[in-house]
Amino acid sequence: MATKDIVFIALFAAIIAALGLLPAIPVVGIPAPITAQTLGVMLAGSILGPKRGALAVLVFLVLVLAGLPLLAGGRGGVEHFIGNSGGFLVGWFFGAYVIGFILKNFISDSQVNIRAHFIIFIACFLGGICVVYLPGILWIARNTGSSIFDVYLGSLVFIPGDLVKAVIAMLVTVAVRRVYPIALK
Amino acid sequence: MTLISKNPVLDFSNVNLVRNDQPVLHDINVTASEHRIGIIGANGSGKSSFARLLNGLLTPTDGRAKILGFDLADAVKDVRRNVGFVFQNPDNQIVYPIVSEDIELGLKGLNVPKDQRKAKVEEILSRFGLLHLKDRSVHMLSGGEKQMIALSSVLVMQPKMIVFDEPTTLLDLRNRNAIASTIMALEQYVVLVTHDLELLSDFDRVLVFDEGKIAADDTPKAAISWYKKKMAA
Amino acid sequence: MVQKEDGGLMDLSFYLPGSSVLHRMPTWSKFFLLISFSILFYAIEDLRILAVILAAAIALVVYVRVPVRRLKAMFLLPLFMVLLFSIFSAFVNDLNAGLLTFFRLTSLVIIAACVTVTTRIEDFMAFIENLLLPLSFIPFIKPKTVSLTLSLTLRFIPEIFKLGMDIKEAQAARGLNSNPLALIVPLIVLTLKRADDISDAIDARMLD
Repeated sequence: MATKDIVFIALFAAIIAALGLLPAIPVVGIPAPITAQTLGVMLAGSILGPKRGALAVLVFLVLVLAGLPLLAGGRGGVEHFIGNSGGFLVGWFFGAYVIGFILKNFISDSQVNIRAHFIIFIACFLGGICVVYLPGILWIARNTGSSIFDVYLGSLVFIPGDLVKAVIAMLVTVAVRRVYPIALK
Repeated sequence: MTLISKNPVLDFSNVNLVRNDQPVLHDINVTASEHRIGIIGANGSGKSSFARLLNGLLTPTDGRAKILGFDLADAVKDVRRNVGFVFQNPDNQIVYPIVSEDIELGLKGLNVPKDQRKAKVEEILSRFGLLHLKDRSVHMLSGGEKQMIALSSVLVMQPKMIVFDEPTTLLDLRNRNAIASTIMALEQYVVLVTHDLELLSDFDRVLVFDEGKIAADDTPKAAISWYKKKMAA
Repeated sequence: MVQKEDGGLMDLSFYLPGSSVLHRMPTWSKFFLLISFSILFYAIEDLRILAVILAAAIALVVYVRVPVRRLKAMFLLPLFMVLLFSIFSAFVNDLNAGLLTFFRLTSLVIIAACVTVTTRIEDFMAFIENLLLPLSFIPFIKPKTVSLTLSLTLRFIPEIFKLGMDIKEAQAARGLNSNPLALIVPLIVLTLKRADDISDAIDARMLD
């Protein structure tokens, strides 16, 4: 792990934190504003790649665990991992890895054609939504003694907003690649 | 700190440097032992790359480069131990969130024991009247303070030579003057890359870089006047 | 963000200085107990025992002396979420399940928050480094690297935040303030472009 990789990881962890401090983005037609922070988590994987992206998310999570108010809204501390959002936080780590993994293996580092757009979107959907929700739902089901299916049904209401997020993540990824392509690691 | 050394401080022969498949320096030959050496040249002339050779951040593609007697081909660590580097943007140089922690970084690398580290940090900060900043968060410092802290973190490692890469470009006039007088007061060998030609008036020697070569090598007055003529053409 | 005197990011952590038993316990023991409780509480199905545990947790908060305002800031949202999920559980299963959920989660959240409030950031970071020591045969996990990475992140959070505010201002002046791309793309690019210089600066001083 070269010095530059460490710097990329730390800088992106700081980006994820800073995005949590900036106000959420209202989007027409979606009930709740989209927090830029979850976008940041997806982008860690899509811009830095699987290993560095996942490590950036991990560094961020460790700082939250330490008690720093870095989660959107100025929250932090181990209680957020114990409570019901804990599963999603863990999901962020794997999600970033999956997104990076897909991009690294299916498109080249500076590709921005239609196929790339499509694959990036699929990656953000699979990694940013499916992989994140899985532990999130399991954790809530366990915590509340409910069936997984019920929790899953309850979570469907967030899907439209998440799809918009995946689209935005895809557009940001493409835009960054055009200006500053990095080899995914 | 003795300045009279038997070996030349800088000894480059036929050095070429290629970065990212682009040739950046051609056929660099220079031997120097002066206390203060200035480096000037247009952007893209290769002066920043040359500066980075001096502390081993880059190594030659061809040719031989020796700094303070150490060959870059096999003694990069020794070069870095003895040559400090002050970057143009202190925000990219200061790495830890609290001032004292950042200054300690270099000392940790030199394996200085913990109790001595604290004393050395305080000593270097006191030297510049900055002891009150010891536990300050870096993002609360002014530009001038940051540049001084960056310099302190290099000086605390007691290098024999310090390379400055355009240290005053981002500073206002007062801070620029403060850094300038600090640099002139340094006992160490100084190599200063700059666009601020006035800084070099009391220097011993100035190299002018142009398109990857040393185009002029003379006293400050002569080299600067050559450079000005070239830029005006 | 509230800036107090020095205004460092560490100041904004939830740590509350004090001298309670929790403050003096070593960090690893607090986390070990927390994890043990998490497992234990889920093995308990008796509502009465859980009620006692909840009472003990509340007593703990009182003992640690968290000021009321801090309590509100820390607990309001998590407890609201717990309430929500308990109601969900009661609705989907039965009242007993809802109550079990409420008691368990609330107790855990409160105890966890007590741990957060009584642990210094530096101690926590040291705990993480020590935790990783036995793993240091894995190439990229070295305690020094971990410490550097965490500190680098802390170092740049305020700067990147400020950069974000500056970009927001600039984009608003151009009428782009509802376009997330106009903010996020420059934020990422400008920040990552510094990586070369920053890693050079680290290499120049970190000699081992």
